[in-house]
Amino acid sequence: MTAARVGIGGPVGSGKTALIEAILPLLAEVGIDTAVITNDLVTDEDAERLRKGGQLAPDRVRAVQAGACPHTVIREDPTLNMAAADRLETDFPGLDLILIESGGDNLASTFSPDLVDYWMFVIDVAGGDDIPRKKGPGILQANLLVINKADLAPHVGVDFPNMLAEATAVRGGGAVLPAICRKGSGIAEVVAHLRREVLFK
Amino acid sequence: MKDHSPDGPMMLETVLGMAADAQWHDRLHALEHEGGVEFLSIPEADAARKRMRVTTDRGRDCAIALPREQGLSDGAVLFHDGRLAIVARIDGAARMRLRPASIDDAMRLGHWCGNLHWKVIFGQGVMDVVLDGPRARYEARLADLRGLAEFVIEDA
Repeated sequence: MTAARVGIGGPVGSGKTALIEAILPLLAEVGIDTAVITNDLVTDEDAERLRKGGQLAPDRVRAVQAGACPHTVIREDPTLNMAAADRLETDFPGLDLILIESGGDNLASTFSPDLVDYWMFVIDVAGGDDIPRKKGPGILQANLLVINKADLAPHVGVDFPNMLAEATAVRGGGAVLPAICRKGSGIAEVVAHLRREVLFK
Repeated sequence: MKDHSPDGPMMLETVLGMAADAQWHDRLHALEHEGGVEFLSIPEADAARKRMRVTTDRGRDCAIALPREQGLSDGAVLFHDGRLAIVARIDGAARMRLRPASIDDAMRLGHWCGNLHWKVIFGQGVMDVVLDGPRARYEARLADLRGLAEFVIEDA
């Protein structure tokens, strides 16, 4: 099988890179051979952070610079990311998974199905409990919505169970998982979900 | 094609052919009489994906994982072993037809829909918007354009 390509989108600071950092050890534990492509505006900031983290060999983390609106390189013209994914598959035969992290974008950000087989959208509690109610395409169309920083709810005046319920309702029952990426909470569930829905192993 | 365990999904990893092709038509027709053909119903919006977990019309748990160079289209035969065949059916998405009154209106309308990142199909003097959700949601996005461009909404 070719490697599964899984997108991770969401607003700036919601925890996209933190989610990758949290799931990498669990993927390694179950033998899922992984590489990552990051997208930043005009730097390699997220790629450098992941390389420094040491969970993957540096060459397994590739950076794409979007140059403009981050969503353009994951939706309108994803050729840069497709080429980077193709190169990773050539360089690492037997790869099971390529995670493609979008640059931080707004709630309208979505991935092209030409680029990914599956995609997650990450929002966080501190961004406000009204985010699901705003029904952005990222919230509605993602295969999986992750609501991060659940532990901050009492500090920012958010009724977290209500936020989860509203997110599930606007997505018509589509998958929603809570997480605290920094503490590893909810991460096993995210990995189990990916294994069932797109990795098949 | 991998063997599948009772616990895991049935792996479908290649498009063997198209149901409408002569060689497949006869084989599937014979199997259909014996109840050996199962169908996967896939929404048009998902058809571009190479991987997905889906259930056949008879409840069989399947996982599609196609090579990058292959694509799903209506009638794709994904499994056949002489006793069972699995065929993909792509559910056509609903469409909303927009007919601008003039070239000026067409430019405004095209720019507007482009900004909304809508998927469209161009026809003679019309533009069909592929609906990935309730039609009312799309019509609501056109309300503010009414004072700027003249156009009518038709059923596609």
